[in-house]
Amino acid sequence: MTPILECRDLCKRYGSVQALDHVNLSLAPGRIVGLLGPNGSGKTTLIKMANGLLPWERGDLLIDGMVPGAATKSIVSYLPERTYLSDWMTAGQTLDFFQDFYPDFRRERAEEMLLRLNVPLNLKIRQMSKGTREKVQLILVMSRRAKLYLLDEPIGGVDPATRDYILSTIISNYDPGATVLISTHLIADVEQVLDDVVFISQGQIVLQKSVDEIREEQGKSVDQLFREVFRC
Amino acid sequence: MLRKLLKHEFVATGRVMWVIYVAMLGFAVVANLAFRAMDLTTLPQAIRALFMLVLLGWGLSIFAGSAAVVVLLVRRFHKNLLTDEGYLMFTLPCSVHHLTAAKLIAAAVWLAVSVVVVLLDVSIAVMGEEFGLSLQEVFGFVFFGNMTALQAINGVAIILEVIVLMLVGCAASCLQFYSAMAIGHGFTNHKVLWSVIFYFIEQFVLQLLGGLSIALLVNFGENVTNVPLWIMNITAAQAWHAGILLVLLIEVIIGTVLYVLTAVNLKKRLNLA
Repeated sequence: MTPILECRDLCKRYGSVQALDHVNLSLAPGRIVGLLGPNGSGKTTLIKMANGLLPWERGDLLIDGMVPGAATKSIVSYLPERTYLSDWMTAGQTLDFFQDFYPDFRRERAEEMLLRLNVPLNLKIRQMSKGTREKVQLILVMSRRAKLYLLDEPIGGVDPATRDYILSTIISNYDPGATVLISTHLIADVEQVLDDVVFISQGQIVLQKSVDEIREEQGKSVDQLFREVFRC
Repeated sequence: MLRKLLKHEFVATGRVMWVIYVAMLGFAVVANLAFRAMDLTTLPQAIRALFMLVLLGWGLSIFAGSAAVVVLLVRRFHKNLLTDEGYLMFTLPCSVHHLTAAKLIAAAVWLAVSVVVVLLDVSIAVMGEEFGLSLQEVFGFVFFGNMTALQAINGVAIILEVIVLMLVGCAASCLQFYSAMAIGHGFTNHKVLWSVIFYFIEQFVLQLLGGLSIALLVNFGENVTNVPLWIMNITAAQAWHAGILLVLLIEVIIGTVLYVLTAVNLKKRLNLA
């Protein structure tokens, strides 16, 4: 089976800083994977490269066997750590936008989730609070029937109640055959939903295992193992 | 995909552009009334001064409106592609060429519309009995005058060539801003400063090349001894066509180079961080 995301000897530099250092990684379809690492470890860089937002110097990165481009973008649903919606748009206009560009966008599901969140379709993005904007963005991203969801720090900087909302939205909306890659350093919150974990440190993959393997072989939770591996 | 991008581009830009155009044309109507009032001999000096201020404001509104359109189009490219909104735009299932072309086509159309609005603005402001008579004369000559079919065809062709030149010229001007921003935003720091620097570098190079070309042409014209007979025999209409098409060719070459610079930098050096 073709891996949904594959990195072979992938390298990326920012000036003198080695952001990704000979990364080898393969993600199978149908898994929820945690890309875990401290700040500045290369998580966002890897996700940006998988989205075709950053070029790399060496190695290969393939999405479903293809180099990132227009074709891969139609099967990848990406949630960046920033709000990317135009503030003059209404919630309804953002749905129109996604519906126009992504054939896999499920508008009814998005409208249903917005309704549950008490966000009227005529409310402008600029009138929403930061938390509501993030939720609307997540709803848009998770309303797609994508093959790969790349979620960059979806629970960073939000209150615990919002974290629960975000995680339940992810779990209840992703396509079971799809892979969800969640980048975060808040391990305890996401551990319960993960199938596999990838530890990344200083641009290198230091561990890739299933959560069950970690629990059975080492008798530890992912959070405990993370604290051991990344102890300062 | 380009059609969809264009649709959203016109929606995003149109909501502001129409406001500017309506404001400009509204000011033109006020200016027209001021022009008519100024003709009244019994008008008190204070009121006359007030109308002078209105006319001054109208003149400024044309410059301000035109400048606002350019600023908005440049800002749209920057905000939509090179800031946080770029995370959405560059992850749409379309190529960099489609993204650039959508911005470019929409901007060129709005700039061309702006030229028409400015012409309309001035026409509305000066519209009166004399202006109406002048228009009547022009249209009378065009449609009922003693014009040959060849003259009419040439006239229409020249007007079409000028419209195409205007659109291509607008696109090339936009591309100078776009390419400078695309290059400047490839740097890690001081992105806006680099964009401004590259805009002036491009401007300098274009002026230099333009100046050199004119100097070479003048030199050639002064030193040429045997002017071919066909050049001596060309008609005024042929000279117009040749001149417009030459400028059009130059604009197309400049536009192509700037487009490649923009697309390559957005593709190879994109740095949204």
